[in-house]
Amino acid sequence: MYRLIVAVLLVIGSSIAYGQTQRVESDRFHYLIAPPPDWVVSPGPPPASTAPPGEPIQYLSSDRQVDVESETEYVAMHFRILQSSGIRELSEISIDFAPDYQSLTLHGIAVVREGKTLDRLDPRDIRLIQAENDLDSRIYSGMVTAVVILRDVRVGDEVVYSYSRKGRNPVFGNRIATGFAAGWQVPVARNQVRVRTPAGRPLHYRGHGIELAPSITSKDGYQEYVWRQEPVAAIRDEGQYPQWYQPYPWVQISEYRDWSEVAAWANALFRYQGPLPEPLRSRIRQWQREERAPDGALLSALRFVQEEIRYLGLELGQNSHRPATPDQTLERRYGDCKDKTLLLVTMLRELGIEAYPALVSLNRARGIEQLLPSHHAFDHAIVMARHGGRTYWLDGTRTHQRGGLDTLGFTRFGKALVVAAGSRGLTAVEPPANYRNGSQVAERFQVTRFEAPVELQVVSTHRGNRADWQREYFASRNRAEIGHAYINYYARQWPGIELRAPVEIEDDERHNRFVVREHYRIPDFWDREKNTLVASLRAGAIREFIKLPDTIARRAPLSLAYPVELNHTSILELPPRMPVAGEDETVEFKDPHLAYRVATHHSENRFEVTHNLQTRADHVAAGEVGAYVRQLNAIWEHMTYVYYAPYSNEVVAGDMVKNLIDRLGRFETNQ
Amino acid sequence: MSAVITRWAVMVLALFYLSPVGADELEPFARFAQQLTADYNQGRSELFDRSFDADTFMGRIAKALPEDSASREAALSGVRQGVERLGKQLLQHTGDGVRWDFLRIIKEQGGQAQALIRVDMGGQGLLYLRFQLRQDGEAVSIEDWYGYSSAQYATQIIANTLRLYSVAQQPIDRVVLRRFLRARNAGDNATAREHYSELSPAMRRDPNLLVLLLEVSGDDEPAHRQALADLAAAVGDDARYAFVLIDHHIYERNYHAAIRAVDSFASRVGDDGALQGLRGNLHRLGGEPRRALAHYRQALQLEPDYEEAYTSLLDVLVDEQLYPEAVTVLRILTGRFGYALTPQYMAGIEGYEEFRASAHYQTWLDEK
Repeated sequence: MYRLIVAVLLVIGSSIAYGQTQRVESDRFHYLIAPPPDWVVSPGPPPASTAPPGEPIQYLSSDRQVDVESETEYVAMHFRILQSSGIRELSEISIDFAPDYQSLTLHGIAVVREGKTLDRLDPRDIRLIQAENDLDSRIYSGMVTAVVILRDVRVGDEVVYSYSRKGRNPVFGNRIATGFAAGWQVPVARNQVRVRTPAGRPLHYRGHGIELAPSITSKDGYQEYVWRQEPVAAIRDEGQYPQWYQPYPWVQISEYRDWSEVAAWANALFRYQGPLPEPLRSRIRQWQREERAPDGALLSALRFVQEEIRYLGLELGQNSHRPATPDQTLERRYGDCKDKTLLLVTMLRELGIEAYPALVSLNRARGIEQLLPSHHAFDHAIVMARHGGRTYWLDGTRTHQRGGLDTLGFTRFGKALVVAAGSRGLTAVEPPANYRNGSQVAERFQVTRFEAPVELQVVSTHRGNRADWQREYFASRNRAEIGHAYINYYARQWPGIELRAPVEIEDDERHNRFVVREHYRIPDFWDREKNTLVASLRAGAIREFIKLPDTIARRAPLSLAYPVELNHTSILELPPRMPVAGEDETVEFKDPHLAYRVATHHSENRFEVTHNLQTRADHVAAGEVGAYVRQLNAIWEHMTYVYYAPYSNEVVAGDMVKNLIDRLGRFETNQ
Repeated sequence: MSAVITRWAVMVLALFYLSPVGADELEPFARFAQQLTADYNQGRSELFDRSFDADTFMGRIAKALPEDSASREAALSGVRQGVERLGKQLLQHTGDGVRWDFLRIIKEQGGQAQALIRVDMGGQGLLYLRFQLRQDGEAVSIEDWYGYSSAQYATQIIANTLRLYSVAQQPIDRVVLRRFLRARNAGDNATAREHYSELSPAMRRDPNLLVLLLEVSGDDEPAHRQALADLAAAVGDDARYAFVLIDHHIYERNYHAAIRAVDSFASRVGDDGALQGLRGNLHRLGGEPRRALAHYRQALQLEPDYEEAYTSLLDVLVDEQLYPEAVTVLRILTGRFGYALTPQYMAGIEGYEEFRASAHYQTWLDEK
C-alpha cells in the first residue's frame, strides 16, 4: 500500500514536470497546471484502515498545508470508492477560488486501479464556472469553481488529487486568520494540517470542540505548526443545535492578539469623512422638521435604508469586507449589510445621533466570544446607536420592520464588535427592556346545531419579529395564495373546511402589532363515533414548539427559539340548550427552559381553553434534554381538548324530519 | 300550558327568514351579505363601516329635502356627522341570543342587488332588513337599507324626519321633537314618551314618528298598545305597515286580521319558515290547533332547521295527544339541535302531565 501511494505521487509529479507550468484558459478565467510548491512536505502514505461498513467512500487522507509567506494553501485528498453511490459523489470534483486575488494551480488528479495509476489531469475534463451559489440571497461573490469531471471511475478505485490556491484578499491586510476542520460526519483515516510561517510571526491557535495541540518546530528561519489526527472518528449529526454551538470540531488560527486589533482593522474600512449628498441632507433636515417624536427622525433614516436601498451584495475582492461609500450606495440605490450600515451610521451622525458600525455573526451569534480574535468571526454588519440614554441595534438589511425603537423586531446576535476607535472587546447585544416577540391566536368555534357547519373565526396578533415576518409574508404573496395556505393549515384537521371570507389584516405599524383575521366554515367539524359527536380543539400555535426533538439521546445542546411568547385560546360556543359539563382546571409546567400554563373554563354553553407558552432560554444543555423531553410529553397531553356530545344518526341525517312532515300531512284536513 | 322552550314569541318587533342560501351560489352579493351577518353576529360593524357608501347615502337625503330650505345645509351637516355611526347603530340589534341570518338575494340587476337579512331577536321578535348593495369591480358597497316596519329606505325616513323638525314645522314642534329624539337616543323611554305627547296632533300621527314611539314604548305595555292603536289608525290598510301591526291585532284578539297581516307581509318579501310558524302560532292562539299543525308542517318543509317551529309544534302535538309525533319531535330536538331534555326538566313542564304518563313518552325515556 505504501509503495502504491508513493508511486502515484511520483507519476503525477513526473508527468507535470516534463510539461513545466501550463496555463489553461477557460471561459474568461484561467488556471495553472504545475508541480506542487517545493515547500510542500508529503505527510506520507495514509494509515492502513478498515473500510467502514456501509459507507460509499473511504476517506483515506486529508492534507492541508499553508505557507504564510507566499500566501499559498496546498490541498491533497485521497479517497477510495467502496460503492456505486460513491462514484456519483467523487466523479465530480469542485474547487473554488477567487480570481480577483487568487490563482488556482492543479498539481495532479489520478485514479489508482489494481495497482496502476491512471492520470486524469486533462484540461478537456475541466471547466471553470462562476456558479454564484448565493444568488437567492442577492449576494454576488465573484467566486469561480473549477469543476473536474472524472472519466471512467469504478468501485474499488482510489482517487487522488492535489491543488494550490495562491493569494489572499488584500482587504485583510497582512494578517492571517483561518481555521481547519477536525471532524466530519464520516471517519477519516488521517487528517493533517501544516502551517509554515516566518519566524517572528507567531500564530495563536485554539481548538473548538477538540483538544488538539500542534507540534511546533523551527527550521531555516521558519516555524512549522503541524496538527495531525489519525484516525478521525465520525461525528453523528444530532441537528437542532443552538446557533452559537459548533457541532463539528475545528482548530482556529489567528495572528490577531486581541479584539482591539480586529476593531482597528474594521475601523479603517468603515472610516468615512466625506459629506452626505445634498439631496439626502435636505431629506434629513425635513425629517428633523416634520418628526415631532424624538425617535421619529432616527426611525425615518432606518426605514429609508431598509426600504429604499435594495439589498444586493457585490462581494467581489475587497468588497467582501470593504463597504461602499454612502454616496456610492445612494447613487446605486443598492447595497449589502456593510454598505447599508455605513450609510445609516453616516445619516444618524448627521442627525446628531451617536452611531457606530457593529460586526456580528448570523451563523455563530454569541458563539463568537469563544473564538480567537479574527476578522473571520463575523458575517454581518449592523448599527449600534445611542439615543435617549439607551442603546439600540439597527439592521439596515431588514425589511418590513415597523414599530418604535422599543418594539422593533430584534435579532439575537448575542455579541458584537463595535467598530470605533478604542473598541477593546465584544459588546453584548441586548433587546430593549420591554421587547416582546410572540403571537396570540384566538379561535372561536360557533356551533348552531350538530348537523350544520361550524363557523370558525380566528384572530392572530403578532408582535416583534413575528409581526415583521407576517408583514413580509403578506406583502410578498397575493391574497389568493395566502388564503390557500391558510386553509391548508386547518384542512389537515378538517379536510372539508371552507374559507368564508378573504383573510383580513390589520397592521398597527406604530406598535409593531400585526393582526390577521380568518373566517372559515367547517362542515366536517365533528368526528362521529357511535352515538357520540367528538370535537377536538388543538393548540395549533403551540404544538410546533412542543414537538420532541429529532435526536433526544444527544451530546450536543438543543436549540430553543428564544424569546418567544405564544398564547392560544380556543373557544367552543354552543347553543344555550347544549350544555357544557366539566370542571375548570389550571395546569402549569415550569423549568429553566420554558413555562407553560393551560387554563380551562366552562360556562353554561361555552368552553374556553387558553394555553400560554414562554421560552426562557435559547438552549437545553445536553444533560438536561431527558428531563426537558419528559416535560414536553406532559405538556403534549394538554395540546388537544375534546368535547363529546350525544347524537342520533337518524335524526342528524334528516330522515326523521322527512318522516315527521309526512305524518303531519295526515292531520291537515281534520280541522 | 307553556312551551318547552319559549323563544318564539308572537310579538313581532318590526320588520323577515328563508332557508339559508348557499353563499357560493350567489357570488358576490350573497357572499358579502353572509360576511355582513357574520360580522354582526360577532358584534362587529367593521364590514358595514368599510363598505358603506356615505356619499350616495347623503345624496339621497339631499335629494329628498326641499332645495330652498334655509336650514337644509345645517340639517345635512348634522346627518353627515351621524352617518359614520350608522353601522354601529345596527349593533343595537346584536348580542346574546340574537342571530343574524342572510336569507337570499331578492332582486339583482345591473350591478345592484337587494339582500334580505333576518334578525331573530331571541324572544324579542323578528326583524327583517333589506340592504341595497352595489358592486364596483370586486368590491361590494352598501348604498342603503331599510326595515319592513316602515318599508322605506333609511335615507327617505331620515329626510322625512329632517323635514319634520327642522324645515316645515312650527318652532314648538321642532323643539319638542328634538327633546323626544334626544331622550330616545339616551334610552330614557319615559321622558321620550312624555315629549311625544307634547307634539302637535298632526305630528303625533306621522307613521315614521309612530314607529319611533313604538320603540320607546316596548317597556310599558299600555303605552305600547296605545302606540300600536295609533299607528293602526294612522296607516289604515297600508301593506307596508302590516307586519308591525300584527301585535296590535293580537292585543285586539283579532287573530285572523293578524294572519292576514302576515300574508300581506309575505306577499311582499316571500314566505319562510318563521312566517309559516308565526301563522301557526296565531291559529293556535285563535283556537285552531289543526290549522296550526298545517302551518308548522309548511314551516318545516321550508326550513327543516328552523328549530323554533319544533318547540311550538311540540306543544300542539301534546295538546292534541298526538304522542308518537310528539316523541319524534323530542328525538329531533335532542339529536339534531342538542337540547338537554332531562327527565327532571321535562317533569317541570306544565300541561305535559298526560303525555308524561303515556307509553310513548316512557319509551323515549328508556331510549335515553
